[in-house]
Formats: sequence, C-alpha cells, structure tokens
Amino acid sequence: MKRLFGKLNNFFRKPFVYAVIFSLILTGCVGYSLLAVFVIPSYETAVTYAKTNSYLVTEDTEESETEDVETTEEIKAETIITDSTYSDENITITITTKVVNDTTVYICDIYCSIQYLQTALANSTYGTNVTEKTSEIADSVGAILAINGDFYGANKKGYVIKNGVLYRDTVRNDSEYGDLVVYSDGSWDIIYEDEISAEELMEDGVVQLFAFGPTLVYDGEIVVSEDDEVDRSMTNNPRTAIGIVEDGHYVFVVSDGRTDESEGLSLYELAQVLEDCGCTLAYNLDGGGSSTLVFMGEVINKPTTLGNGIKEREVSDIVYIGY
Amino acid sequence: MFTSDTKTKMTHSLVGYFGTTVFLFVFYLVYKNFAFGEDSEYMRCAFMAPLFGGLIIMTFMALTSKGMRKYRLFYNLWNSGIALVVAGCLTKGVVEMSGRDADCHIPYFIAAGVMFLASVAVFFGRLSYRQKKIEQI
Repeated sequence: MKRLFGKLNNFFRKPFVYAVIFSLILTGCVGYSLLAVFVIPSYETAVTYAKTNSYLVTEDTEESETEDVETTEEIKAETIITDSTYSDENITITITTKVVNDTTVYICDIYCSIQYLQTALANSTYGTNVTEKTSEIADSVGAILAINGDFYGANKKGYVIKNGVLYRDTVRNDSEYGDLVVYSDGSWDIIYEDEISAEELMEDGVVQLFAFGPTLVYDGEIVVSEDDEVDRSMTNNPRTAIGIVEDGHYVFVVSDGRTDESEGLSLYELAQVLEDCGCTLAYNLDGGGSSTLVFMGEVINKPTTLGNGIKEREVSDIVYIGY
Repeated sequence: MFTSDTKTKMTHSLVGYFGTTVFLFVFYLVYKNFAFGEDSEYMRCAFMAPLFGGLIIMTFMALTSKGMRKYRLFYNLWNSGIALVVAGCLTKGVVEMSGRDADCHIPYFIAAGVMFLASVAVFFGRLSYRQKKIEQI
C-alpha cells in the first residue's frame, strides 16, 4: 500500500500530469453540461394533470363527443378556405401580409371563441429539449393556424400551464418580463411569477400561460421602449407575438428577418404593428429562428436561424387555432 | 532576492495568466459578434478569474520564492479553482447567449470555492510545517 501510494505520488509529481488530467476531466464536465442544456432530452412529469379549469373538459364526455363529430362535420361543410383566409361557423381567420421597415410581416386576424385558442407540446410530451417543428406539431393536432410558442423547454424554470394543465411551478429567473395568462372566461392579463404562485393562477382559472416577454402593448398603449430588447438580443430579428383586441378577437403576428429580403423588427416596431391592429394587450413570444407561421399545414413565413437558409427550427410548443 | 530558477517560473506564470486573460476577453468579443448581439455578463467577466487569481498567486510566489517546489500542491489547487471559475463563466455565457436560462454554472463555482479553500489550507499547513522544521534546526 505504501509502495502504491509512493508510486502515485511520484506519478503526479511529473510535470503537467496533474494539469492534463484535471483539464480532461473539466472538459468532459463542461461538455456534459452543454449537452444537458442543449441536446439531451429530459422527459418530466406535470405538477398536476387536473384539468379543472380547462374549458376543454365537458361532464358528459360520450354525448359531447358524438355532438362534436356531428358539429365538426356540419362545420366542415360550411368551411370556406382560400390562400389567406379561413371561415366556418366558429372560426374566421384572415392573414394579411405587409412590409414594415423592410421586413415582411404576417398579421393574422382571428375571430373565435377562446376555447379554440389552444397550445400543443412537441411530441405531445412535456420536458426540456423535447422539440419538433411547428408545422409537424400543428399537423399532429389538426391546427388551422399555428405559431411557435414560448419555447418553455429551453429553460429549467418558469411556470408552464398549457390547456389547463400545470406542468411546472418554479419561478423563472427573469420574472420581471412578466407572463401572459389566458383565463377560462376568455380574459387575458399579465402576471409576474414572483408575485403569485402557479397554484393560485390555477385556482383563478388560468388555462394558458406564456413565459417569454416582454409585454408589448397593455391597455392599448405601447409599453416597451425603443431601447428594450429580449435578453439583450439584436435590434432587428424575426419576431412572433400574440395579442387580443377584444373578447373573441385575437391577433397573431409573425415577422421574417435575418435575410436579404427582410431585415427584422425591433420589439418597439413589433409593438407598433400590434397597436395598429387595435390590440389592447400584446405579448412577445420566442423569436429569431423559432418564428414560424403555419396555415392549413403550410409554412407561410420564411423561418431562418442564421439567415443562410430557410428552414424551420424545432420548438417545444405551439399556439394554435383549431378544434 | 530571487534565484534565476524562481524568476523563470514566475515569468512563465505571468505569461500564462496574462495570456489567458487576453484570450478570454478576445474570445468573448468574437463570440458576441456571432451571437446576433446577445450578451452575457458571465462570459464578459470570465477574464477576471485568471487576472485576479493570477495576481494573488504571483504574490504567494513572491512570498514562497525560496521553496516554490514544496508548494506545488497549493499552486495546482489554486489554478484548478481559477479553471473552474472560467469553465463556469463560459458555460453560463454560452447558455445565456443562446437565449436560454440554466443554472449550470453553480456546481463549477462551488467546486472552485472548495479548491480555493483547500489551496489556502495547504499553503498555511505547509508554511507551518516549514517553520517548525526551521525551529527544530
């Protein structure tokens, strides 16, 4: 034992042995840390599966399912679809394309009951680094219109409430940006995670929560300054935002960016677009390469991450209009 | 005051710490340039670890000039602490500049704290041992 210890001691006394071994171990640790953050999927369980606040739950499930099939078939018969519009008995969507500050912006005017504004998770699975293209998620749920969501899966903290289910109740580090909440009665509001617990939000009737930000328009006024930026990101970027004009009238906005054709929008320019649409409340969602707009199964905008190719980025969740 | 061997070691150390400091700052500027304007305080301040850690260690080197070899474990532990702080800052910086949020830097900072405390304990333990030896003589 003494001899072994002596040999080890002599080995580590050799020049650079300790440095090389320590460097290899440290490099391995850093590599694993980065893989855990960016690549390795982590499938997690929801805090609660109780859908007590979901407007999607009905008491007489069997009867309502039959009614839903009949209603859906009736609705399909009356549906009018063009390249940029959709209309049936319950949902009306109009997509307008305009150029703002050398950037192509897609504005979706949506008239529907709040129950048709839903969210969906990548691979129908909750967890970090669980991702899928917006168009694929949209296809899996039969979305009429879909945009990327708040990419909850990029972070380990922050409330996650989707379709009335509470998945995560830890407070996000940048809670000062505020979260957009949608209540079961159709009202929208901005809350701050360090001021109210996730359980209280569920008790208050929150069915959807978006944790990205910042808030762009509140009470009809632009609340983001011309210097505000999301996590100090570049001024002009592809953007995604969601807003409400009044109960039953919602707006989705997606802009291109990082290309020769479209420079991108600053947060203030994005807020101006939503204010011009008449939004009383508007909120910024994940932008950059995540910004994607899907209508009737087709990607409408030009999503790009580095500006050197049009390609969808895989995201963790979407917001969609559908049955 | 210093032997030529000591001067050589200190010069090498000075070059190493200064070079690492400059490299980390330049790395931050280059990375920021390709990060679509994203920024991170952790990556921006990573260069401070070898800068201040090096200044402190150079002071210790000056104090222990006559027996630097006997303090090798102290230097290894101290430099390990600096490396861990840098690793934590860079990891957190990469995550922040991608737009994400994760507390991946905390284990590195905790390990660095342990290394720094261990190195100081080893230093004073070694110093005390040498003083006793001198007194015996």
